[in-house]
Amino acid sequence: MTDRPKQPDPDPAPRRRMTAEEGIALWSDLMHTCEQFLLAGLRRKIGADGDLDAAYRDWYARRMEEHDQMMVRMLHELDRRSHEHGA
Amino acid sequence: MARDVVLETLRHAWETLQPLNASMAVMGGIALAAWEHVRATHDVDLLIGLERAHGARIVQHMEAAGFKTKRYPPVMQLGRLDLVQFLYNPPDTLLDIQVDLLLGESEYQRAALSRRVATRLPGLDVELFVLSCEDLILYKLLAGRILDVADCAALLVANRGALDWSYLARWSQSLGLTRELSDVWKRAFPGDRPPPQTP
Repeated sequence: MTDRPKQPDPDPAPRRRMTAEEGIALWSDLMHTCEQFLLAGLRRKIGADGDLDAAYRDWYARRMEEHDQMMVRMLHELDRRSHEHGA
Repeated sequence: MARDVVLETLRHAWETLQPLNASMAVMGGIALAAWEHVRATHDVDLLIGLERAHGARIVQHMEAAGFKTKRYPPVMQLGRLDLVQFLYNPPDTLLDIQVDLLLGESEYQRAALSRRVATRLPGLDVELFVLSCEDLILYKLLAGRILDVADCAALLVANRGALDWSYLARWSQSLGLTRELSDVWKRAFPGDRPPPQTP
Protein backbone atom coordinates (compact mmCIF):
# COMPACT_ATOMS: atom_id res chain seq x y z
CA MET A 1 0.00 0.00 0.00
CA THR A 2 2.83 2.41 0.87
CA ASP A 3 4.56 2.00 -2.49
CA ARG A 4 1.69 3.63 -4.33
CA PRO A 5 2.38 7.21 -5.54
CA LYS A 6 0.66 9.96 -3.60
CA GLN A 7 0.04 12.12 -6.66
CA PRO A 8 0.85 12.19 -10.39
CA ASP A 9 4.49 12.90 -11.17
CA PRO A 10 4.66 16.33 -12.87
CA ASP A 11 7.85 15.30 -14.68
CA PRO A 12 7.38 11.62 -15.54
CA ALA A 13 10.14 9.51 -17.00
CA PRO A 14 10.07 9.05 -20.78
CA ARG A 15 7.69 6.27 -21.71
CA ARG A 16 7.87 3.73 -24.48
CA ARG A 17 5.77 4.86 -27.42
CA MET A 18 3.00 2.56 -28.58
CA THR A 19 3.53 1.18 -32.08
CA ALA A 20 0.91 1.84 -34.74
CA GLU A 21 -0.03 -1.85 -34.63
CA GLU A 22 -0.54 -1.71 -30.86
CA GLY A 23 -2.67 1.41 -31.22
CA ILE A 24 -4.93 -0.21 -33.77
CA ALA A 25 -5.20 -3.35 -31.64
CA LEU A 26 -6.29 -1.16 -28.74
CA TRP A 27 -8.81 0.58 -30.99
CA SER A 28 -10.16 -2.83 -31.93
CA ASP A 29 -10.74 -3.73 -28.28
CA LEU A 30 -12.32 -0.36 -27.60
CA MET A 31 -14.68 -0.81 -30.53
CA HIS A 32 -15.89 -4.09 -29.13
CA THR A 33 -16.53 -2.61 -25.70
CA CYS A 34 -18.22 0.51 -27.08
CA GLU A 35 -20.51 -1.57 -29.24
CA GLN A 36 -21.68 -3.58 -26.25
CA PHE A 37 -22.63 -0.36 -24.47
CA LEU A 38 -24.20 1.06 -27.62
CA LEU A 39 -26.37 -2.02 -28.06
CA ALA A 40 -27.35 -1.91 -24.40
CA GLY A 41 -28.33 1.74 -24.77
CA LEU A 42 -30.35 1.09 -27.91
CA ARG A 43 -32.12 -1.84 -26.26
CA ARG A 44 -33.06 0.37 -23.32
CA LYS A 45 -34.36 2.99 -25.75
CA ILE A 46 -36.50 0.68 -27.91
CA GLY A 47 -37.65 -1.70 -25.21
CA ALA A 48 -37.49 -5.46 -24.93
CA ASP A 49 -39.74 -6.02 -27.96
CA GLY A 50 -38.11 -3.46 -30.25
CA ASP A 51 -36.09 -4.34 -33.35
CA LEU A 52 -32.49 -3.97 -32.22
CA ASP A 53 -31.00 -4.55 -35.68
CA ALA A 54 -33.17 -1.81 -37.16
CA ALA A 55 -32.28 0.55 -34.32
CA TYR A 56 -28.59 -0.16 -34.88
CA ARG A 57 -28.88 0.49 -38.62
CA ASP A 58 -30.78 3.70 -37.96
CA TRP A 59 -28.15 4.85 -35.47
CA TYR A 60 -25.39 4.11 -37.97
CA ALA A 61 -27.15 6.00 -40.78
CA ARG A 62 -27.49 9.07 -38.58
CA ARG A 63 -23.84 8.89 -37.56
CA MET A 64 -22.78 8.66 -41.18
CA GLU A 65 -24.87 11.68 -42.15
CA GLU A 66 -23.01 13.69 -39.51
CA HIS A 67 -19.75 12.25 -40.80
CA ASP A 68 -20.66 13.22 -44.37
CA GLN A 69 -21.31 16.81 -43.34
CA MET A 70 -17.88 16.90 -41.71
CA MET A 71 -16.17 15.46 -44.80
CA VAL A 72 -17.82 17.98 -47.09
CA ARG A 73 -16.92 20.84 -44.80
CA MET A 74 -13.33 19.62 -44.47
CA LEU A 75 -12.85 19.33 -48.22
CA HIS A 76 -14.48 22.69 -48.87
CA GLU A 77 -12.07 24.22 -46.35
CA LEU A 78 -9.07 22.46 -47.89
CA ASP A 79 -10.08 23.61 -51.37
CA ARG A 80 -10.76 27.18 -50.28
CA ARG A 81 -7.59 27.50 -48.24
CA SER A 82 -5.44 25.84 -50.90
CA HIS A 83 -6.82 28.33 -53.40
CA GLU A 84 -6.42 31.37 -51.15
CA HIS A 85 -2.97 30.47 -49.90
CA GLY A 86 -1.63 28.83 -53.04
CA ALA A 87 -1.17 25.42 -51.41
CA MET B 1 -18.59 -7.45 -34.05
CA ALA B 2 -18.02 -3.85 -35.18
CA ARG B 3 -14.26 -4.05 -34.86
CA ASP B 4 -14.05 -7.06 -37.16
CA VAL B 5 -16.51 -5.56 -39.62
CA VAL B 6 -14.68 -2.24 -39.94
CA LEU B 7 -11.26 -3.88 -40.21
CA GLU B 8 -12.55 -6.40 -42.73
CA THR B 9 -14.03 -3.58 -44.77
CA LEU B 10 -10.74 -1.70 -44.61
CA ARG B 11 -8.79 -4.77 -45.69
CA HIS B 12 -11.15 -5.45 -48.58
CA ALA B 13 -11.10 -1.82 -49.78
CA TRP B 14 -7.32 -1.67 -49.51
CA GLU B 15 -6.78 -4.87 -51.47
CA THR B 16 -9.36 -3.82 -54.05
CA LEU B 17 -7.62 -0.50 -54.68
CA GLN B 18 -4.04 -1.79 -54.61
CA PRO B 19 -4.01 -2.86 -58.28
CA LEU B 20 -4.58 0.77 -59.26
CA ASN B 21 -0.96 1.38 -58.18
CA ALA B 22 -1.72 4.66 -56.44
CA SER B 23 -0.40 5.89 -53.09
CA MET B 24 -3.01 5.37 -50.38
CA ALA B 25 -3.25 6.13 -46.70
CA VAL B 26 -5.81 5.50 -43.98
CA MET B 27 -7.09 8.67 -42.35
CA GLY B 28 -9.88 9.26 -39.85
CA GLY B 29 -10.54 7.42 -36.63
CA ILE B 30 -8.58 4.24 -37.29
CA ALA B 31 -5.49 6.25 -38.20
CA LEU B 32 -5.77 8.20 -34.94
CA ALA B 33 -5.25 4.95 -33.08
CA ALA B 34 -1.94 4.45 -34.86
CA TRP B 35 -0.80 7.67 -33.17
CA GLU B 36 -1.89 6.75 -29.63
CA HIS B 37 -5.26 8.45 -29.71
CA VAL B 38 -7.86 5.73 -29.48
CA ARG B 39 -11.53 6.46 -29.95
CA ALA B 40 -14.44 4.64 -31.50
CA THR B 41 -15.11 5.05 -35.21
CA HIS B 42 -17.36 3.15 -37.55
CA ASP B 43 -16.21 3.90 -41.05
CA VAL B 44 -13.16 3.79 -43.28
CA ASP B 45 -11.60 6.94 -44.74
CA LEU B 46 -8.85 6.66 -47.32
CA LEU B 47 -6.78 9.27 -49.12
CA ILE B 48 -5.75 8.03 -52.55
CA GLY B 49 -3.29 9.71 -54.88
CA LEU B 50 -5.36 9.72 -58.03
CA GLU B 51 -6.77 12.63 -59.98
CA ARG B 52 -10.35 13.41 -60.93
CA ALA B 53 -9.98 11.72 -64.30
CA HIS B 54 -9.64 8.36 -62.51
CA GLY B 55 -12.95 8.65 -60.66
CA ALA B 56 -14.90 6.40 -63.02
CA ARG B 57 -12.17 3.76 -62.93
CA ILE B 58 -12.18 3.74 -59.13
CA VAL B 59 -15.98 3.33 -59.05
CA GLN B 60 -15.84 0.51 -61.58
CA HIS B 61 -13.11 -1.24 -59.59
CA MET B 62 -14.91 -0.93 -56.27
CA GLU B 63 -18.30 -1.99 -57.64
CA ALA B 64 -16.74 -5.11 -59.13
CA ALA B 65 -15.53 -5.98 -55.61
CA GLY B 66 -18.97 -5.63 -54.01
CA PHE B 67 -18.94 -1.99 -52.91
CA LYS B 68 -22.03 0.10 -53.70
CA THR B 69 -21.80 3.81 -54.38
CA LYS B 70 -23.64 5.85 -51.77
CA ARG B 71 -24.60 8.75 -54.05
CA TYR B 72 -25.45 9.57 -57.61
CA PRO B 73 -23.42 10.81 -59.33
CA PRO B 74 -20.90 8.76 -57.38
CA VAL B 75 -18.06 11.28 -57.48
CA MET B 76 -18.80 14.39 -55.39
CA GLN B 77 -16.87 17.36 -56.67
CA LEU B 78 -16.07 19.85 -53.91
CA GLY B 79 -14.27 22.62 -55.70
CA ARG B 80 -11.16 21.04 -57.12
CA LEU B 81 -11.32 18.11 -54.72
CA ASP B 82 -13.28 14.89 -55.11
CA LEU B 83 -14.95 12.54 -52.66
CA VAL B 84 -16.36 9.12 -53.56
CA GLN B 85 -18.46 7.33 -50.96
CA PHE B 86 -19.17 3.61 -50.92
CA LEU B 87 -21.10 1.18 -48.75
CA TYR B 88 -19.95 -2.35 -48.16
CA ASN B 89 -21.82 -5.16 -46.50
CA PRO B 90 -19.34 -7.78 -45.25
CA PRO B 91 -20.71 -11.33 -45.25
CA ASP B 92 -23.05 -12.21 -42.36
CA THR B 93 -23.32 -8.66 -41.01
CA LEU B 94 -26.30 -6.38 -40.68
CA LEU B 95 -24.57 -3.07 -41.38
CA ASP B 96 -23.37 -1.49 -44.58
CA ILE B 97 -20.02 -0.02 -43.59
CA GLN B 98 -19.17 3.28 -45.21
CA VAL B 99 -15.92 3.80 -47.10
CA ASP B 100 -14.92 7.32 -48.14
CA LEU B 101 -12.23 7.88 -50.73
CA LEU B 102 -10.65 11.30 -50.99
CA LEU B 103 -8.85 11.80 -54.24
CA GLY B 104 -5.51 13.44 -53.54
CA GLU B 105 -5.21 16.12 -56.17
CA SER B 106 -3.86 19.12 -54.30
CA GLU B 107 -0.22 19.88 -53.53
CA TYR B 108 -0.92 19.41 -49.85
CA GLN B 109 -2.58 16.02 -50.36
CA ARG B 110 0.38 14.86 -52.42
CA ALA B 111 2.74 16.01 -49.66
CA ALA B 112 0.67 14.14 -47.07
CA LEU B 113 0.74 10.94 -49.11
CA SER B 114 4.50 11.19 -49.54
CA ARG B 115 4.87 11.06 -45.71
CA ARG B 116 2.49 8.18 -45.02
CA VAL B 117 3.66 5.54 -42.56
CA ALA B 118 3.55 1.77 -43.06
CA THR B 119 1.73 -0.40 -40.53
CA ARG B 120 0.03 -3.76 -40.18
CA LEU B 121 -3.48 -4.59 -39.09
CA PRO B 122 -3.84 -6.88 -36.08
CA GLY B 123 -4.92 -10.30 -37.20
CA LEU B 124 -4.96 -9.43 -40.88
CA ASP B 125 -2.02 -10.25 -43.08
CA VAL B 126 -1.89 -6.99 -44.97
CA GLU B 127 0.50 -4.07 -44.87
CA LEU B 128 -1.09 -0.70 -45.24
CA PHE B 129 -0.24 2.94 -44.66
CA VAL B 130 -1.64 5.60 -42.34
CA LEU B 131 -1.29 9.36 -42.62
CA SER B 132 1.44 10.86 -40.50
CA CYS B 133 0.44 12.36 -37.17
CA GLU B 134 1.20 15.88 -38.47
CA ASP B 135 -1.15 15.40 -41.43
CA LEU B 136 -3.92 13.99 -39.26
CA ILE B 137 -3.60 17.12 -37.12
CA LEU B 138 -3.87 19.35 -40.20
CA TYR B 139 -6.91 17.48 -41.54
CA LYS B 140 -8.57 17.70 -38.14
CA LEU B 141 -7.91 21.43 -38.02
CA LEU B 142 -9.60 21.71 -41.42
CA ALA B 143 -12.63 19.75 -40.20
CA GLY B 144 -12.96 22.13 -37.28
CA ARG B 145 -15.76 20.55 -35.19
CA ILE B 146 -15.32 20.45 -31.45
CA LEU B 147 -14.70 16.71 -31.76
CA ASP B 148 -11.94 17.36 -34.32
CA VAL B 149 -10.35 20.02 -32.13
CA ALA B 150 -10.37 17.55 -29.25
CA ASP B 151 -8.73 14.96 -31.53
CA CYS B 152 -6.04 17.50 -32.43
CA ALA B 153 -5.33 18.24 -28.81
CA ALA B 154 -5.14 14.53 -27.99
CA LEU B 155 -2.71 13.93 -30.88
CA LEU B 156 -0.52 16.82 -29.72
CA VAL B 157 -0.44 15.52 -26.16
CA ALA B 158 0.31 11.92 -27.18
CA ASN B 159 2.96 12.82 -29.77
CA ARG B 160 4.45 16.07 -28.52
CA GLY B 161 8.03 14.87 -28.47
CA ALA B 162 7.92 13.16 -31.84
CA LEU B 163 6.22 15.71 -34.09
CA ASP B 164 7.90 17.37 -37.05
CA TRP B 165 7.17 20.94 -36.05
CA SER B 166 8.74 22.54 -39.08
CA TYR B 167 6.41 20.52 -41.34
CA LEU B 168 3.41 21.44 -39.19
CA ALA B 169 4.42 25.11 -39.24
CA ARG B 170 4.96 25.11 -42.99
CA TRP B 171 1.63 23.58 -43.91
CA SER B 172 -0.43 25.27 -41.24
CA GLN B 173 0.87 28.53 -42.71
CA SER B 174 0.26 27.41 -46.30
CA LEU B 175 -3.31 26.40 -45.46
CA GLY B 176 -4.05 29.41 -43.30
CA LEU B 177 -4.36 27.29 -40.15
CA THR B 178 -1.81 29.01 -37.93
CA ARG B 179 -4.38 30.54 -35.59
CA GLU B 180 -6.26 27.24 -35.28
CA LEU B 181 -3.05 25.33 -34.51
CA SER B 182 -2.01 27.91 -31.96
CA ASP B 183 -5.43 27.76 -30.27
CA VAL B 184 -5.30 23.95 -30.01
CA TRP B 185 -1.76 24.11 -28.62
CA LYS B 186 -2.94 26.47 -25.88
CA ARG B 187 -5.77 24.11 -25.00
CA ALA B 188 -3.52 21.06 -25.02
CA PHE B 189 -0.71 22.64 -23.01
CA PRO B 190 -2.05 25.56 -21.00
CA GLY B 191 0.78 27.89 -20.02
CA ASP B 192 3.44 26.17 -22.19
CA ARG B 193 5.18 28.06 -24.93
CA PRO B 194 4.76 26.52 -28.40
CA PRO B 195 7.84 25.06 -30.10
CA PRO B 196 9.96 27.70 -31.87
CA GLN B 197 8.98 26.60 -35.38
CA THR B 198 5.28 26.99 -34.73
CA PRO B 199 3.51 30.31 -35.32
